[in-house]
Amino acid sequence: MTKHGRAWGLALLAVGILAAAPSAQAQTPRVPLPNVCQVPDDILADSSPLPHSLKQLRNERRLKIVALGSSSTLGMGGSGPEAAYPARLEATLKAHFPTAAIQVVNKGVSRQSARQMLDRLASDVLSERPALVVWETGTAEAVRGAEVDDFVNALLTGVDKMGNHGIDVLLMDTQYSRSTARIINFQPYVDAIGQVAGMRDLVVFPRYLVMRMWVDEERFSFADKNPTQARALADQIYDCLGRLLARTIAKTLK
Amino acid sequence: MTVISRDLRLDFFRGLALLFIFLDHIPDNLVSYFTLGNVVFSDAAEIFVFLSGYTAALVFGTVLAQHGTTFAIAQVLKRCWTLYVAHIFLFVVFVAQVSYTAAKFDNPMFLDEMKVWDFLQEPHIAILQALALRFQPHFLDILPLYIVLLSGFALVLPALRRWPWAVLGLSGALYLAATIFRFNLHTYPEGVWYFNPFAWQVLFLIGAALALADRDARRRLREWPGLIWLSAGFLVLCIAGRTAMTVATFLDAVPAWAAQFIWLIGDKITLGPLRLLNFLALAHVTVTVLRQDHPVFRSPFAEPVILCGQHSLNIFCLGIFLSFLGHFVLVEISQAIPMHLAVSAAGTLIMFGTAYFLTWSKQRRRPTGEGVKMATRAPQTAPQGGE
Repeated sequence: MTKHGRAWGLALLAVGILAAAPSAQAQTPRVPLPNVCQVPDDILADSSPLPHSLKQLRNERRLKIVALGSSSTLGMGGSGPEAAYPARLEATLKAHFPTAAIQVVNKGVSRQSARQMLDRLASDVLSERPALVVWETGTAEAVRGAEVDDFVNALLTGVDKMGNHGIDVLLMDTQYSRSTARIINFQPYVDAIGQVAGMRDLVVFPRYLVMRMWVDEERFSFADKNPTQARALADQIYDCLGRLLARTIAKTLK
Repeated sequence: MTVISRDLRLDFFRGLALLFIFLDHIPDNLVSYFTLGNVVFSDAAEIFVFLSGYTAALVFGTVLAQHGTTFAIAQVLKRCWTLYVAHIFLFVVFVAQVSYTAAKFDNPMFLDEMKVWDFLQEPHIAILQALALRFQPHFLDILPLYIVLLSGFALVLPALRRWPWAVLGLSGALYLAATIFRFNLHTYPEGVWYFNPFAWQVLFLIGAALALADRDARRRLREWPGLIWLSAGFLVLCIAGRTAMTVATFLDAVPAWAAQFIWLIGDKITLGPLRLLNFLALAHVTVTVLRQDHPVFRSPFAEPVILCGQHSLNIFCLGIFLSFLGHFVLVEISQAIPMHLAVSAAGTLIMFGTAYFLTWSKQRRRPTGEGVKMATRAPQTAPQGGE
């Protein structure tokens, strides 16, 4: 029952109480991160491995990633797929690993649940033969209030199927915005993703937590923006997400 | 109507459960780390359902003994109606929040995904579904369970008095069947009830059966050799296990097998066996250690909690409403730790204040001579005591 959101709250508390062990300060990454994207290092800390990606990168000097997901993988709200997070991930990973051939394929389909994505797993994912799949999911379930058990089962089915094909899976949880958080409870689905990651020892990219920190710090706000400005802002957020995800993957592979 | 001398433990622990429900329903609330659900594998929901069954049997069992079956059933159904109206009130609060948000929605990154939400697409159907208890957004899943359990109880009560073991046997069989075959009621537009009534009924009826059992039977259970040590031992294991989980979660080091195991036997929807046994052990240890006349229940600290428990439906609805409000404040204003503490403290004080107010206003309607102090041991007249 990994609860990333709660873990963060607890982390804050524990730091205060325990003055906990010094956080493992990783060597400064070579690829700079714009200030506006920054989040505390320990939020992205994840000790789970990506063995197949590591092997492909070491042995073949290449890394093929499929971004499996829904509307936000497609880049909805921004100026299009070339500004969506998978494209930004590819660009940033190329900077992290300049001597390797990096390819990120975008397989986002609007408004899909995890179960619907299972139906296109063979055609969209397995046939691409990636070493790593970034699976962005949970939003359609949260918005519809789908059964959490069923969501967990769909995730486990997908993760195991990809695992059997020699593919690493990295899970990305839901987006965060104030207006949606007010009326939809994302937490059980974010928790479910953490739970599945715990059961299969997978890396999680805690997008919900990251975006929530940005929102709480008033870093990005869509209030009073005209459509052009809103699109530019969405592009900027997708860019930050792509960069942070690249940093998470690079840390695990270095 | 005869007066039932009231066990203050019922009110105290129900009040405590209501406080926990308020704190736990503010998503991500830091203070909820210190509520029951983060100490053991069961949480306030088990306390609430168990004590609701216990109180229902106490109150309506007396009505039945004095006024006959038909009248008792009518009283239970009247109570269900009150709960239903309370549910609709909370639903209206929810609709107000959704309408406000939808009118001001400004996030283009979410716009596409929000289109799968049937409530925004077809609100007229969602409202009808809510009236049928089938639309259960977050916060609005406990009262439907309570309503269904209580209306079922109207039918079961006469049998439970006559053949308690047979009824408990059937109830246990239904629980096992729901656990194994995973059948449940459906919600709109998809999904199932967050509290599966076919599973949770077992806890409600265990509470009811205990309330109806005579003194001797309860004493025999209490003094059953070894049971207290078995319960205490299991409870210690649960506390240790739950604490280890919290620490391991914090360190991102939960072993995969442990995560899998807990998921299998500790799920909340069907009241997983781990949760049920954990709660029963906790309840047994609690009533053994804290006897009815324990001074803690007369202390000034216990008084507001007891009063909350005595007005449980009103305080429950208020608590859910305050969770809405508290969540709103955390989302809109600040996520800082002091804010979590402030929101939790303010909500608790409002609940306490309201409980005192309700007690006071109830007493004003009665003949004079009863002070506030009396309220904590106030004899409850049936059937209002079912609150």
